[in-house]
Amino acid sequence: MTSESVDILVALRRQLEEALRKPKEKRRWVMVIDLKKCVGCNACTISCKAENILPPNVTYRPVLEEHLEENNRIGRRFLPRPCMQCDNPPCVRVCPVKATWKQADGIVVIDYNKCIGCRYCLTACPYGARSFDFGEYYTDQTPQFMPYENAPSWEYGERWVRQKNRSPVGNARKCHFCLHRVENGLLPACVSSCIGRATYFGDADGNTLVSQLIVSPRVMRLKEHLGTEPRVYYLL
Amino acid sequence: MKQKIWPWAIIIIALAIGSYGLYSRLFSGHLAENYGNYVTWGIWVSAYLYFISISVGSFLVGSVIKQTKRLSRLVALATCIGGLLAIWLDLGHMERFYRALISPNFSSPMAWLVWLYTLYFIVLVWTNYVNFRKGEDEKSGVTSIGIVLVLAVILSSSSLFALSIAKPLWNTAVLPLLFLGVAIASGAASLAILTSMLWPEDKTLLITLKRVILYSLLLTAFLEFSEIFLAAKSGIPEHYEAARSLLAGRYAWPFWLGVVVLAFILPTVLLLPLQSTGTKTVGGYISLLIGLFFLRFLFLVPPQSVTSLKGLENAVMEPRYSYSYFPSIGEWLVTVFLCGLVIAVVLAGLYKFKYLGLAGEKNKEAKISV
Repeated sequence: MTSESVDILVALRRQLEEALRKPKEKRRWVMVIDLKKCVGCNACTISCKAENILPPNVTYRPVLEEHLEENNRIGRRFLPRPCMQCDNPPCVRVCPVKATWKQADGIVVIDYNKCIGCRYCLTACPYGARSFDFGEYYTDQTPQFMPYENAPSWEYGERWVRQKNRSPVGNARKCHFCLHRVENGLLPACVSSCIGRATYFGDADGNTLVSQLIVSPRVMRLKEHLGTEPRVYYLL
Repeated sequence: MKQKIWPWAIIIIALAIGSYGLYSRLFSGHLAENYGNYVTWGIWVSAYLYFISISVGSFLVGSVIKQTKRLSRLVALATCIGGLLAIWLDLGHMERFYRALISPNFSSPMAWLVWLYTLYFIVLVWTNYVNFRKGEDEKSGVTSIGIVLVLAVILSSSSLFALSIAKPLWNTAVLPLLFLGVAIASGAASLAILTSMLWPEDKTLLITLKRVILYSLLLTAFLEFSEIFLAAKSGIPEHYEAARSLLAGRYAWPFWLGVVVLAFILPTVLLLPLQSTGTKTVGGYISLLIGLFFLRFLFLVPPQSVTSLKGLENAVMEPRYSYSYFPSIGEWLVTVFLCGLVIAVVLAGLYKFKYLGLAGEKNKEAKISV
């Protein structure tokens, strides 16, 4: 082990801090997920839930599990599915009130205070990456309501406390690559919590790890034929 | 038209029962509803499409068949109110609907529709005002504006689905024509029911309406089957799966019974021969209207019930991440309320008609034209 060798997360974080020194419009955030390394532990799903204080029926990053069977042999394949942050996002086109748009750094964001909750973006997303906040709580029907469910989340750098009829209840919600963490020099929760170090995150412009990975011959993107230009790359 | 109590009794029961669903929606939000993150639009959006179809269809038919013009404006207004209420209740933030007017995103067909409905609603209120308060026919310029708006609504509402690359069965060029066919068939059937009640002796008018219904029904049936046939034969798994769910899958019984029998076969059998009138034909119109509700529901839900990524169906073990959908009691009750409301507005308008002696005028006009 040389003195240069560091944990992948440390390297990613250093590159993240470097990217943050650039103006926002010069950054191009991408995520790379190595499917060979994903063990399907769902740590990313849970850490995302905890980070964003997600209620029941709102999950930003599920892990899809596929069972393969051929010649009496059985295999399993896992595929984490965050928001693809498409460069040509169908969800942005259909929003009737400009409540969702693509930022200069490539992240597709939602303004919860503008969203009318029509759910057109949910039907438009070919990846099923958006959810609707129905206003449910995990412990609502239990003897004791747990206060952690009303703890504030910091999505988009704002303080959100879920309350009846107040945003983000009644809104479309989705993964935003933990923008509130990223802009403060922290990696997205799913990247930090990945026990297999299967998820990479960073700026695709510049000499970064992700910029090398996205030109790998092993790379693929979901439903590319639809022309959505996803910013989530998978390594096969 | 004889003043009967039973229609009002039905309306009051529908409104009373349905108001519980409305109460639940207004005070508990979307908690009691069964749609979720994959099947995101349910029976309320179906009801919206259904009522708006009747509205624009009756406006078009009434603009062409002059004897039904005033009646059509009343039906168009009542169903437009029902449709817009249905979609308003479906919003997560009902109080923000105005944002589509002050901050529209014109790349979205939904934003086009909000503007078009606003203009269309103004036209409907104006035409009904002129018809009922002044006892005059609307100016031809207003009719022309209304027709343009109606065609724009049909194109936009079909585009809302047809431009979606995410859902099989929606992303097809037949939709604008299919929506036009459904609109004319349902609008004409609504007018035919009322005409049968108001002017049962006006055979010419009834036969004309019946002819319009049968032709538009033929167009609708052809396009509906073309859409499903192309999806089934396309070889694209998502398209095939959506078509299969209709033909032999989980939506087979409402499709074969609701759409094929109630919307297409039974009305055709009951409406033929063309000269026939009476209870049998009214039964045909009612069957058609019920069947077209099934058609709207099955146009909307099955394409959302097909998984967009392999494995997504089991990835989240939470109830709203489900590809199956059946409306909740609250959703049914709101739909019943909306139906009651639409019929109440039409009936209230009909009493006004009687007050103006319009039925007599129409008889005279019909005889003159014969």
